[in-house]
Amino acid sequence: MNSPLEQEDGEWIEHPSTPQSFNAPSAIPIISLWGRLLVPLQGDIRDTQLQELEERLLNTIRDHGAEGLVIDASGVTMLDSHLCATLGRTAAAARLMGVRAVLCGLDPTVAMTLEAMGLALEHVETALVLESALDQLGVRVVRDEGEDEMEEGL
Amino acid sequence: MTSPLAEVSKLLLRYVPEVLAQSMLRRARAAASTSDDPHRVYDELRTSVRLFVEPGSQQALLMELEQITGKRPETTRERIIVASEMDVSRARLRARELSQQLGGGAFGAQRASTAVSELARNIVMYAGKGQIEIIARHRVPPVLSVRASDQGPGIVDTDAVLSGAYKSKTGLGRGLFGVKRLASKFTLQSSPAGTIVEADIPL
Repeated sequence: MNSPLEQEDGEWIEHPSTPQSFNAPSAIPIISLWGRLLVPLQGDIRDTQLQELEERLLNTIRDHGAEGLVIDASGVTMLDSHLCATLGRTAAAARLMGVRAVLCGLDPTVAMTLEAMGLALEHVETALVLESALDQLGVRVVRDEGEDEMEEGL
Repeated sequence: MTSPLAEVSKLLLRYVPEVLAQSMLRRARAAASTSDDPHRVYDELRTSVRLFVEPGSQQALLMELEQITGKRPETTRERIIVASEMDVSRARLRARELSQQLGGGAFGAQRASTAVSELARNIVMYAGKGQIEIIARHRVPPVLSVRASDQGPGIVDTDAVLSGAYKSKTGLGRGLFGVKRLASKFTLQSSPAGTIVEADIPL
């Protein structure tokens, strides 16, 4: 098929395919925090990473229970339709198991792009930052205001 | 004969205050000193023009700039073979880098990277193997032309996909529809012999 791009002259820089085994992605951590589970997503997220996470996460919930799930996306470079669908499915599955899921920390450019594309993150509650996500899941911060006075007393 | 940079300086003074013109030139020289590409200084100037000159006069200024500097070999062209998840990652990363080189902002780079990710993923999921071609164009605004092609089984109902009515479990329809919404120009040709998607993403 003829294409406008092909008809243009000029040099092409070629990038050959990389074998799948090369630079295998690492597992996404699941952190247990005051009875809640915290999942920090960092950098470039691949489909298989997220699929593996989904299974491990639901197993963790089954085996140890959780009062809530926070997915912190503040370090994510990009979300597209497929990653959104997988995140939504994970959150929906957690919900079916009785665990509320909150997504937080979405980068403004990621949020604006999803909005421009007409994509929605379904089944997921959202929060601006980690603190507010934990707050939504009932975590309250109590600071020990008397600490300084006690030190003076010593 | 005056040096090209002296001419550029005179040109800038007709469009922006002196203090701004000096700072644009300084910025361009500093950027050029880190690279041996002779066009680097003009690339940087173009970026400054987009940032600091009022939108209405940008096109005229850039055309005059081109007369002084000669035409930039229009563009970078890159062809990325996509056959694995790793390649999808690389394609979207490269789209981000090229957008940034063109002077596109963070939102532009994000849109380009997301669009390429959708197209590359569709190739791997539905055709197994194909290629992504990216042409980075110095325009106002800069444009990333993306062409995704494969010899897969093709898309059965392209109209449904592009109207946003089609929705697969894996998100195929949503992805292509999303790319169309990000693109200033979008074409989709599909047959049982393969699929070609072309999208211009303005940055």
